[in-house]
Amino acid sequence: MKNQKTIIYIANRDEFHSYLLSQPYNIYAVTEKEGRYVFADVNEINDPGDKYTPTLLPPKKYLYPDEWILFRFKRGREEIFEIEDKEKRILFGVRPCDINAINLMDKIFSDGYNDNYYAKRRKDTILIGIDCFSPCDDHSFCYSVGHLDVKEGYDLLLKDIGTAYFVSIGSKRGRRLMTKFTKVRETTPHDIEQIREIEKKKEGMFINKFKTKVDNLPLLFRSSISSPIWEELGERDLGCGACNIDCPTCYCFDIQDKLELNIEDGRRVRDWDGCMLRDFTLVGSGEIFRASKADRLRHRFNRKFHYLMNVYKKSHCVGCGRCARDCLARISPVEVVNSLMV
Amino acid sequence: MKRPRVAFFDFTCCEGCQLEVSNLEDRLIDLTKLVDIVMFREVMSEKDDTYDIAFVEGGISRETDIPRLEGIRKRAEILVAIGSCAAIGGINCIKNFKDLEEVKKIVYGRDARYFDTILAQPIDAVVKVEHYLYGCPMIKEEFLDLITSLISGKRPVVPNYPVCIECKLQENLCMFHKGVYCLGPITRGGCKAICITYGNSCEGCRGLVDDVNINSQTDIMKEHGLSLDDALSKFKLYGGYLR
Ligand code: SF4
Ligand code: SF4
Ligand code: SF4
Ligand code: SF4
Ligand code: SF4
Repeated sequence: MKNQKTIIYIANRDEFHSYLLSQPYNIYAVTEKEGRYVFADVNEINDPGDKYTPTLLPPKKYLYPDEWILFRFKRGREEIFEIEDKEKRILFGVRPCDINAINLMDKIFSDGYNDNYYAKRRKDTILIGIDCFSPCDDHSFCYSVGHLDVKEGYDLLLKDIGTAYFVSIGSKRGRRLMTKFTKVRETTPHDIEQIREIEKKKEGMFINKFKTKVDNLPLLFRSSISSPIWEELGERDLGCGACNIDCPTCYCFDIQDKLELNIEDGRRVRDWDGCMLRDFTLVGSGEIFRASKADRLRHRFNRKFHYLMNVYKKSHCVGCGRCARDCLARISPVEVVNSLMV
Repeated sequence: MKRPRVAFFDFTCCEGCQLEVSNLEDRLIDLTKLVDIVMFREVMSEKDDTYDIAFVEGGISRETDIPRLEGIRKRAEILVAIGSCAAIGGINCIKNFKDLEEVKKIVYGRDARYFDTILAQPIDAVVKVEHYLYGCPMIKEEFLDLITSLISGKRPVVPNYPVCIECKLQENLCMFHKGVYCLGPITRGGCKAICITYGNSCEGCRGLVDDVNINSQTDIMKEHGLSLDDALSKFKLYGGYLR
């Protein structure tokens, strides 16, 4: 098989769910909310299968939450009081785009400086992925940016075939989780044939929505610094920052110290921030480096397809389509890339 | 700032913001350990005219409001506008779009001639204001944060991002996707998008966030079936003074 990973056939989906629910982890899984989906704390697993569309917020909310209290302190004293976080969690039903986004974040938060806060949560989180066989909706373009295939990062990756799952093991703890689950059997040649068939069908389902290959994007964005497109988009853009909050690879944050009412005890809080917001580049002297919406948009897209791509050789947009799905001004990466092509 | 003397005042408003302060309940006791409350008509009868921080609720809507506000300004080292009426003009300014004589008749009927009225305005149209606590009503946590910041010498943080940010954080389905308009994209956040979370649109009570795109917002409202007039009247509910 691809990646030489053991594939185990699970006789029964429900049995696997009950097994997971009996494990000493908090389980967060995909749940319906107002016709869309969110990851939430669940008592039973009801994954929507091929009806899935990317959750309103990506699973980053569990790995580097907003309003994250890093530690407590006492004013005027050097000591800090770490917050004990004993939660061990399973994220169930994470799709390839989001697993790949987490892989990118693993690099971002460890490259040069190791973010221990992130590392701890990441270590305490088991990722159980579910593979996609067809595009989740019209906004998605994971295939176009090379993020439909997922090769690492997950502990288990499931292929949902209705009553059963095929399971690929991606880590030691994934293997440990599976060895304790007794109701499985090894794959037979027949199963392997079935998997091949699914993979084959899947190939024709996804198309490249960009008018160019993803590898060309850094150069395209580099040569588009003074394109009139940015001003045009800037006219439409609300500067609302929804696209940053929704994005699984937007990781910028702001840090604030907050005092309790006794003005003695304090807490250091890490909040999500976003480059589409005006105050993002506001500095102490009152200057703002990217004062116009056009500048901010150009920056955002360059982060995804140029700057970070040059460093890590991968698109830093995973094509989940969340930003496009929820942008009221209908600004989408596919549109942006293609309009720069003309 | 050590143990400041604090006073509350109200002009044209519903006194809902001061009610928020009295609703602090157990934390009100902690607050009194930090500050001396010397005047607070809603909860105490004592009066004292020396204070460091004046919290002013309500908008200016009568000629006589002006000298009274100026007096408060003179006595206070720090003046804080609390709530939409004081901070941005708010609901009171709806009357500015009608003839003032007619407005008086609507409100006071036959007794209209005994009352004077002027165009409604926020307090910074009359005096200098150091800090703003936005919202209808203002938010208790922001009030407490302002006090602890002033006392500890820290710059208070007033959110300068739109309501959409917090709305997304709550994982609400966008009102526009439900076919309803919403002023979230142009309105200053900080309220945790409470209205949307409980099923209503944002009406813009915290005023405009800096650097909004009104044209785009208007276009989006039009795309969702509101005429330009409808869209403008939505902006007027709280934002009448701005336009
Ligand atoms: S691109 Fe869309 S979602 Fe992002 S800030 Fe602009 S209007 Fe908001
Ligand atoms: S930029 Fe948009 S499509 Fe790309 S990863 Fe972020 S939210 Fe998804
Ligand atoms: S964007 Fe691609 S990987 Fe992500 S859910 Fe949709 S189809 Fe699956
Ligand atoms: S419901 Fe309103 S505040 Fe929420 S995202 Fe939509 S426009 Fe923004
Ligand atoms: S959602 Fe809008 S109307 Fe509601 S409290 Fe917040 S700013 Fe005010």
